[in-house]
Amino acid sequence: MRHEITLHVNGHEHRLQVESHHTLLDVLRRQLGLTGTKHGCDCGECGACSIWLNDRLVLSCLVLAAEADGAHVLTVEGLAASGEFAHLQEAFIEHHGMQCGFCTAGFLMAAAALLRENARPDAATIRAALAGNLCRCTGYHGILRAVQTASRMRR
Amino acid sequence: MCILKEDGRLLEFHFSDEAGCLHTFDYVRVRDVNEAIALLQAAPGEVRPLAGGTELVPALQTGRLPVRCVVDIKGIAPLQELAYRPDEGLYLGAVVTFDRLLAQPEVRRLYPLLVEAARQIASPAVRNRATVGGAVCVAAAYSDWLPALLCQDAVGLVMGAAERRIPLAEFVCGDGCTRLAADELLVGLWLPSPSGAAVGSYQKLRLGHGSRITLVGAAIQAHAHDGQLQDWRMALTAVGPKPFRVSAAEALLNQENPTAAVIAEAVLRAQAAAAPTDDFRAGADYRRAMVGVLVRRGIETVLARVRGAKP
Repeated sequence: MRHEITLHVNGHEHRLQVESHHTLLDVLRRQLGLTGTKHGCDCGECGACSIWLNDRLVLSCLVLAAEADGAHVLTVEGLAASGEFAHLQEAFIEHHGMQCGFCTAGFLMAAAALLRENARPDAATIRAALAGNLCRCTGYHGILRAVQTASRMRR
Repeated sequence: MCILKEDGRLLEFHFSDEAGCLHTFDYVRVRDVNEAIALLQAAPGEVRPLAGGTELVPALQTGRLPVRCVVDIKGIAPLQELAYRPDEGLYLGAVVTFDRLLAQPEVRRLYPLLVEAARQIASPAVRNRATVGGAVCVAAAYSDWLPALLCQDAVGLVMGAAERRIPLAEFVCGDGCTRLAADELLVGLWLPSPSGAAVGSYQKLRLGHGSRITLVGAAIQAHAHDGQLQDWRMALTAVGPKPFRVSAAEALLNQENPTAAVIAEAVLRAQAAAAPTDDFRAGADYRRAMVGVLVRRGIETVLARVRGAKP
């Protein structure tokens, strides 16, 4: 079943034709070419597809595109373009918060969602906020340090 | 494709040509409970309600569900209600998300066990979508949410051909199995006011933070009256076909002061009530041993919290 939907993605409005079974992740990557958001486990375990939907952190593999009609979406491309979390991105580089990079977009979206609500989270809070994101390279320490560093920097 | 009359009565209903083929299905958004029920009744079993989607969407992707149409019920206003009335208790509309629940001041003040359990469900991104009613209907044997609700004596409000109230202990009949008929909708949960100042603890063992699968969980709640603890409640998860209350352990804690010997006996009773099975995540013996550890920890945490410490 085909639906015509409107999505506001990273500040741009898109009119799109989607099928009922298309996930928001499918549409972001395949129709809009926003491949920063990664396709990982497809079942909500890995966090690689984390985005903001109407300002809330969600997993785009668990949202049908048709459900998101009229919604505002922020992906890692939009996060980067806004510059609002440039210090977080810099901190990931400085502390080697990535290796292969597959999980990085998801971690950035989750960490930014945390820092927006809690400017000075302690280590336990950061761990809890990033609990839904898996990284098989870094062992997480670099990621944790990056978020801690970003929280101490001026936005 | 579904066509509806304006008053919510179903005028005509048919699936699109491709619905049910491979991974495809129809998607319909409704604003009214009667519309949703009319659709469920039109093709029972083949039409499924969609709330947060954190379980249903990945299940649909496998193509193994016999679902030809999903009805998005998130936009139905009465299902979004979240209200506390001191004389009646807490009403949770079925599509209230866990992050909304956790932000509610009365819930945080009066239902500490609900809060501690909800905080440990999956991950923040999942809690932003997953709903209090969806988690009941999924009825996972390893649910973190059901033991906390069982300890509140929660009741499910169901609408369909008739309106029904089903206590949660009866609502869930096994792993993934509920008493909900295919043409009925869980519209909300009703939780009575606590019998005193509730003190609670949810102890959970899992493979890693953020993992959706719980290996063993123990919910403990007691009610403080003038420094005395009464009305103990205990529920276990992931050690049987469904989460359940441990009345033998509750009775003991209600009769005797929780000395070390009484706690040890309560632990034994909880382990005796558990019926864990082996799977690739954990063996039955290990799960039974962990029931002992978590129940002891839960009781001791409740006692410590009453004394004012915050472990």
